[in-house]
Amino acid sequence: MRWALLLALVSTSALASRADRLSVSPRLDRRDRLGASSAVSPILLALSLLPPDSECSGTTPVGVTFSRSSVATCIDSTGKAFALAANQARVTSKGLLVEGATTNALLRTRATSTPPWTCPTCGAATLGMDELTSVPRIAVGTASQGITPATGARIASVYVRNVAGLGCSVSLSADATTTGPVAVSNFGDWSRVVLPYTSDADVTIALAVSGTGCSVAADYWQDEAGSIATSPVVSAGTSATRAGEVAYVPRGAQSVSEGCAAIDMTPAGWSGNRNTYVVVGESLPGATNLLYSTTGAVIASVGAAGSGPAALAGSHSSGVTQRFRSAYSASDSSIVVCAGASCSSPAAFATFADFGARLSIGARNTSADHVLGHLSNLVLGNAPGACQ
Amino acid sequence: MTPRQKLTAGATSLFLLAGAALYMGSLTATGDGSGLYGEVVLEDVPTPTTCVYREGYAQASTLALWVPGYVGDDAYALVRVCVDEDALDDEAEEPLLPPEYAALPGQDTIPPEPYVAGQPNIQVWVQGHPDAPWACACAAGPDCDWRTWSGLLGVTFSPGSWSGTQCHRKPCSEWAGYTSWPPQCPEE
Repeated sequence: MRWALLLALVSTSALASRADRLSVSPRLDRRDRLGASSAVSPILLALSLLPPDSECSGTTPVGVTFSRSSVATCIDSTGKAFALAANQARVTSKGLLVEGATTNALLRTRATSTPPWTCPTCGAATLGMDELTSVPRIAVGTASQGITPATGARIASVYVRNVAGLGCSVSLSADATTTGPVAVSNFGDWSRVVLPYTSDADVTIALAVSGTGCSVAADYWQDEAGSIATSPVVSAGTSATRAGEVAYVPRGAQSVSEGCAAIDMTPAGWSGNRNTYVVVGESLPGATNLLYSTTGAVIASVGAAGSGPAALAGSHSSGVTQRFRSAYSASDSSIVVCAGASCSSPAAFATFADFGARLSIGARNTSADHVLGHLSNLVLGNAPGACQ
Repeated sequence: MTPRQKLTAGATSLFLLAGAALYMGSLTATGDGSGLYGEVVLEDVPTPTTCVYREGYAQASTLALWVPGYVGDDAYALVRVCVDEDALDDEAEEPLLPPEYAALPGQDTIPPEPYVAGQPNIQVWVQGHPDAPWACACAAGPDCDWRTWSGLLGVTFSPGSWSGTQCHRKPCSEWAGYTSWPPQCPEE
């Protein structure tokens, strides 16, 4: 009966493709082997990548090797911030955060009332997002700092929280480019205001507070290159850089000819940049990408450097979790990649280079192709359909 | 990868190559006797065309390898690396940054310079060396001007923006959690 039901599901699917068959048949194999004590599971590794203890504890998920050569900030699901030491993984209910290096061009990012900030209306301090450090309140008026960042696309951001007045709003600006006014919820949680802009190398970042009797706390100011606001990098009197992160799992018995990989990813954003979800090999050429996005609109791909052979167009949405999956089979001469239920057309199998001893997740290495997001539910298999 | 990225990445690779050669004893670094400066001339590499600067943080053992007579702790250093830009290959030149020399991301503050024949391939100035070609600074006293301020404490001033006898040279950037702040400058 079980066989009949499964076969019916396969045969009646109007969208059944080579990819679908790849994903189903190994499941049949696996079920067929249930009860056979000598059978080898096609699933080689299954990791949740969720907090092994509490959020932002710094503990690396079991089975993962993680490194980062600087301090970094972790924000849990309640909005509380934690400063984690070098090599401490940032794991929340969304999974393991993997980000690249970024430099915060602003100084005194938790001390808006201290030069080089100019803040005539800064007043009494209140607790910041970490519930440990006092940060100034900005009454109706403007806080600003001049910086000389590199030219090109940048993004400024600051966390704000209303501490006095009703119906308050803020506007964040970089010279003439402004976002807002943005309403700040009455005595609500911290929220982040972001402003993409183009730098001419001489920029004044400013936050204007408006509303009768309003006062707003500001924390974790940031100005960084690119179009995605990454996690806060705390600076004092010198611009500070968060180091790039990299995480590894053992390659184990992952085959170069028959196998699969799957992972859930929740991005902070996407600008069409190249992201690594699961990759074997730190350098190009020679690396095998089990799951990655290329530059442009290819959201998921598998194979050697480049755009394929199997590739799927799409886009990331900030904060939205997507499941990516790839499956490859030399015996079927097929390779396919999926984002959620959407899969590429099967491509001819291309021989992969030797995988080496480990697979990196979320980045190729500490300085290349970071996902800028949270990863969870990693599955590796030695049969094309084992990773669902 | 942009040409600029390729350049900095290739420079890092060259730096590592030379580091390995030095470690194996096939090259010798020379210095100025201060214990804070070292330079290396490489053989059998393409003639450089351009030079880039990278600040970074290095372990004492690495600094001792590059800077003759270096005695001290882990420290920030400024590195000038000269490479043949045309010889850089695309994706094979991705950065390989070792823990021994944690190079900060390239800053556009100081643009690349053309290579001049006879210059060393690599030069290293440990933080505090007075002859580094450029540096940021902080105020160690009131005679240090930056923009509209005099003697502003606790702030790093970018190259070319500061002047005064009580400005103290320091790195321009730092790794989060690894301060570059010198003891000569009060923080507030």
